[in-house]
Amino acid sequence: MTDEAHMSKKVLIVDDSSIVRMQVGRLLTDEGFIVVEAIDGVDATEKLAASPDAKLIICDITMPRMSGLEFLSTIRQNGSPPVPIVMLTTEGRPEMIQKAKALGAKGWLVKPFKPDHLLSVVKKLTSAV
Amino acid sequence: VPDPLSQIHRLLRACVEESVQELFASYGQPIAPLATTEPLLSAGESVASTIGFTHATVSGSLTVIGSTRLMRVLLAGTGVELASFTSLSDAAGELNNMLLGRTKNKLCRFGLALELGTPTTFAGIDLRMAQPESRSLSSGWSAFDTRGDRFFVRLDVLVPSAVREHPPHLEEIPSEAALAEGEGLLFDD
Repeated sequence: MTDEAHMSKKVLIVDDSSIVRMQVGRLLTDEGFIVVEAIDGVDATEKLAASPDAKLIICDITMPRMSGLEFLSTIRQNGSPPVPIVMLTTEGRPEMIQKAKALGAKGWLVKPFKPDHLLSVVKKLTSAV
Repeated sequence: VPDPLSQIHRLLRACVEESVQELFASYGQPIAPLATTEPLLSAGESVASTIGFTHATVSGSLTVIGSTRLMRVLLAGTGVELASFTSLSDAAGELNNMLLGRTKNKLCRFGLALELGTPTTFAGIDLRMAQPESRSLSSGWSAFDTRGDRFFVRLDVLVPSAVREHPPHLEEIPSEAALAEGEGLLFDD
């Protein structure tokens, strides 16, 4: 069911898997979010520049060309708007989670994700913006 | 005292097989190991995916093969339609990614923090795999039955010669446990 409070809030989904982008995208559009997709960190940097009104970024870690952690580091260094970022990955190692936290990530979810859990995280982080 | 080298191989194989069962269970799809695996044939339209992994102690690759029907069954509950070759191949790659990711998270507890590559995928009709002439711990297929469909997993493991000469004894370190699949954390400011 569409939640009008989330209408027009834009979320950037960064994952090299089209399946994951489809799964997350469908979940969020059904809730009224506007979804922008990027296939890796390089693409995400360009998409974020074109969509500075994004309220949240959901980002994978292992991707071609530019990983999720490299993307985090890049956008923090280049003065991009302070959009909250939550990592969505198969990775669950504590040191990787700490690296992402140190680079400014707001959260970490391990795939396969639970739809209700992901939605609650997205709603919480976009409400805080 | 178990041989440390065979301990590495056995640990990887056990983690992979456990991960297969857990991953399919997370999709609500029952799966059971098959004792007899001849012929190694994924009948009908099938997809395969290989991902390499590396670590100072061990490297190798994980390959999975299953029917496109199975891929569609696994993703049926997510609302995603696998209508094209690209989406089917991508589904096989992501399935392997989640399988190897789960395996990696289990191995963390033993100090083996694998680095993973990105998936390479293949598709075809009646994919038939060559059976190794001899079975070994370092290379081999595991076959599974999932509601009449076959699902195949091949694990290839290479332990560098320097490590083979002085293999580490792997012990479980609970504090190194990874965040579990499906779980998450929100960080405080």
